[in-house]
Amino acid sequence: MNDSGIFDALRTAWHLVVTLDPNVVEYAGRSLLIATISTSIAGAIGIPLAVALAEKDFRGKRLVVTILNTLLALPTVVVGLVVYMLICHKGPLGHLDLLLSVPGIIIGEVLLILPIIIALTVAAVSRTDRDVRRTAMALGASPRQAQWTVIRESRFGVLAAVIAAFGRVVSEVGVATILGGNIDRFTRTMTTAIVVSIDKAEFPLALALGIVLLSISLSINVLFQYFQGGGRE
Amino acid sequence: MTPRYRLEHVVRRYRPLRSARDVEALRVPSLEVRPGEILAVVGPNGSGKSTLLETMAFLGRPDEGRILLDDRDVWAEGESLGARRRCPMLLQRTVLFKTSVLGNVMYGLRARGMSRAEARRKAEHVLRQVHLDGLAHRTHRELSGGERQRVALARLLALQPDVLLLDEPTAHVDHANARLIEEIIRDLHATTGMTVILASHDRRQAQSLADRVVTLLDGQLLSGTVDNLFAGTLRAENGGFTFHGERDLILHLAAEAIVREDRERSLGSHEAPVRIALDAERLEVLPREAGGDCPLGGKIESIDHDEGRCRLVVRLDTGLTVSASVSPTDYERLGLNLDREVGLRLADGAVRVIPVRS
Repeated sequence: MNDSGIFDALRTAWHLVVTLDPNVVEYAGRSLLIATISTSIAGAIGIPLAVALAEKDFRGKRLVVTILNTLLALPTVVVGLVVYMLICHKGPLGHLDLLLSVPGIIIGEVLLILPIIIALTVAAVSRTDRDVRRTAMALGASPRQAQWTVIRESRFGVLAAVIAAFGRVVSEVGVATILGGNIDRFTRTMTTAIVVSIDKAEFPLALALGIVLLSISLSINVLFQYFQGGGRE
Repeated sequence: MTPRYRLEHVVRRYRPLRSARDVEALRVPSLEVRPGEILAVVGPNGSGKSTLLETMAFLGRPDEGRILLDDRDVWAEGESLGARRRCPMLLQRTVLFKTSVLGNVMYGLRARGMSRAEARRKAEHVLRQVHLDGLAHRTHRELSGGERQRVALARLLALQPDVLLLDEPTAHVDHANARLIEEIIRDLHATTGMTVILASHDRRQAQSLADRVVTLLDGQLLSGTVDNLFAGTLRAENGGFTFHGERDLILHLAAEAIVREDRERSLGSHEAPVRIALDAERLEVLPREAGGDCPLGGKIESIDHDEGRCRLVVRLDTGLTVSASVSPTDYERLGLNLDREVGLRLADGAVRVIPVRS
């Protein structure tokens, strides 16, 4: 592609974004939906687990934290492969018919980001005063209320963990491709649509989706920086 | 009258990190606290005061024994949350939540399901009681150490509890705030009659605030206060026993006093590490020239006139210091003053032998 071709593609891409092209809106919407649901599920499972892990002292805790930190860099295609083997027609969960569906992608994304949420939340809670929980209990909080208090006191770090996980889902391509199959109008997301558009030399659409993706990533990073710095505290 | 608390053979243990063995942190064969009583628990750092208070606040289950609140076995009946709500505790290290002063005081009320408006009304009322009404909207970071401690106290008072457990409430505050906090506790007790259990390393505070004082030493509860502690070994020898330790003279005198009082039978016969406590109230102070055969002699190093007694610190000729207490009348009569040479004689009951747990 020559220089004028790049500028033409960029101009068309920008036009697709500002005119809310139906394809761009559909793929971006699906990506955001998958990221929101996956992050919510992973947060609901991972945050309480992480708080318990951060507060309990037990033999082997350092090993668990080391493993979690290692899983932060889990390759998306490995997660995609493992979940594929579980939900493919011959797999143990094949009867649920989850392969090539949005719920199938969500399962993979949840597994991908659980270590992120747990590891970053453990770090955030560990930075929070260990006496917060005891203080809450001493004031008559139930164990659940005390755990919620610990999360609230670590809120900036926990939110940073959630935002990092959300960003990972929005920008990854391996899990969405392997488990979703990149089916148009059904499982295609922003990242898989970019891959297809490049294959089909539809650069304006690929660039338009890239612009949206970059905008989302930028917003996530701004939020991440804000919360990592402890918000306005 | 049914005691507010009854502790029966309570034992708490913990396992240090990287250890295969539990360590005993607390052993209380028996303790009763009456409703409306102020009980002070004194003892050196690490003696188990916080563990005792946390046990009484139902923040940790005893490894052995029972703890009864108004005659009900709280842990056996699965009522620990209810009991915790009746007996909130001020922890030794104050943590304020990352919210406003008002939000902190409302915390316990909201945890009990009170509406926001009602909790706010109560919190504002309590903040006036502790003279912090002007700081309601400050955050935890905008407070001095004394103000933080008063907020922590207000958080408990807002709950109008049956029992107030205070772990070193004035440990990290300046003198003026410490007196203010003591005044708040005294007023509150006078107006509400709530039971207060106070841990303190400050004898003066304990004796001025409390109806009764107990001492925790190495996780064991002893009645009254304990002065002048010395370590040694109790050893059975030829049907009798002796003490050996670095403070040999004092230990020897202690052994003599115990034999004189015929108390050796109660001390057991095996070789065991012990602590010897010499009761400051039962050390007879005599001018050196009148002391005659008095074996403990030294010079008065400091004098503290407090709560109707004169507390003397005497540096013995051997270099050890021993504190003794005399009445103001005796102080005048004996012509005691700084650097005065005095002798000390052990009156009956002056010596207490405390076994050291392994």
